[in-house]
Amino acid sequence: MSVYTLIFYFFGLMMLASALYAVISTNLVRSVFSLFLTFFSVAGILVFTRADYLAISQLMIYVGGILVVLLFGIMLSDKNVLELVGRKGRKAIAASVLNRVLGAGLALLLFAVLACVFLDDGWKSVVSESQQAEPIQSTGFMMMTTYLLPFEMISLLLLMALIGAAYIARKPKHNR
Amino acid sequence: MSTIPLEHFLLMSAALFCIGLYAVLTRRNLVIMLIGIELMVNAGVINLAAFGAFETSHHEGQMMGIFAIVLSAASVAVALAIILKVYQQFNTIEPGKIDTLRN
Repeated sequence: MSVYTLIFYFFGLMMLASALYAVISTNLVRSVFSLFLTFFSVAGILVFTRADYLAISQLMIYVGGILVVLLFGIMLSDKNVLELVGRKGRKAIAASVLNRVLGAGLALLLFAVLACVFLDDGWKSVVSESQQAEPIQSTGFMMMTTYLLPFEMISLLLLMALIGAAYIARKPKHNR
Repeated sequence: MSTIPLEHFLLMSAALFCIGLYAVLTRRNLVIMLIGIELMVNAGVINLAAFGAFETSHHEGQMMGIFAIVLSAASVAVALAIILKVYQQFNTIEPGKIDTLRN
């Protein structure tokens, strides 16, 4: 096993472990910080598929943008949001345990089905050597030629979404 | 240079997807559910990039991955704004307790 594959599996393990911690942690801030690690590892895995530009934009958008927005949203809101586990009765705890078991069972079932499909023969392996000179160069070229219309549309949609988010989250002018 | 089989990318993204699905199904917190949705989007992006590695002329997988990331960024911004508003209105972000649309 070479260093190349070792780094890949290290990123994969880090991604899954931190994602699991982010999901099962009862502290919202901890799970968001654990999500930093998850998104960083996803960017590392994307590098192994030779999608360099995608990895960079993953780092910039997710780690630099979405997580900061999430943290701001949590920190700016009331501290009661952080207290996830409220005091519950025995019935509610039993219901939540049943809920968790069922949810975990469903997720594991889906994973088993997907794994059965993926472990079927006939997949090629991702080639590590690039047959092409410059993936990033041709990505930029494609973005300005073939994908120009989706590119412009998505920029417009992002602008609309951000204006809409700012409008929704604004302070009300007067109390009802 | 050694190669990594495609199945390993797919299995990893499937596991990430299932973790996100578990969060959406079981957690009683809108922010954690949003995080779960983001994990599922990330799993999809890994799959797109892994399959796109075979297609070297147009980089379609990579382009679709970029569009998916941007779309999920937009959805996170709007969803977080809605969650903050819901919290102001109901004083909780537990989806089971939010049962009215207006007053």
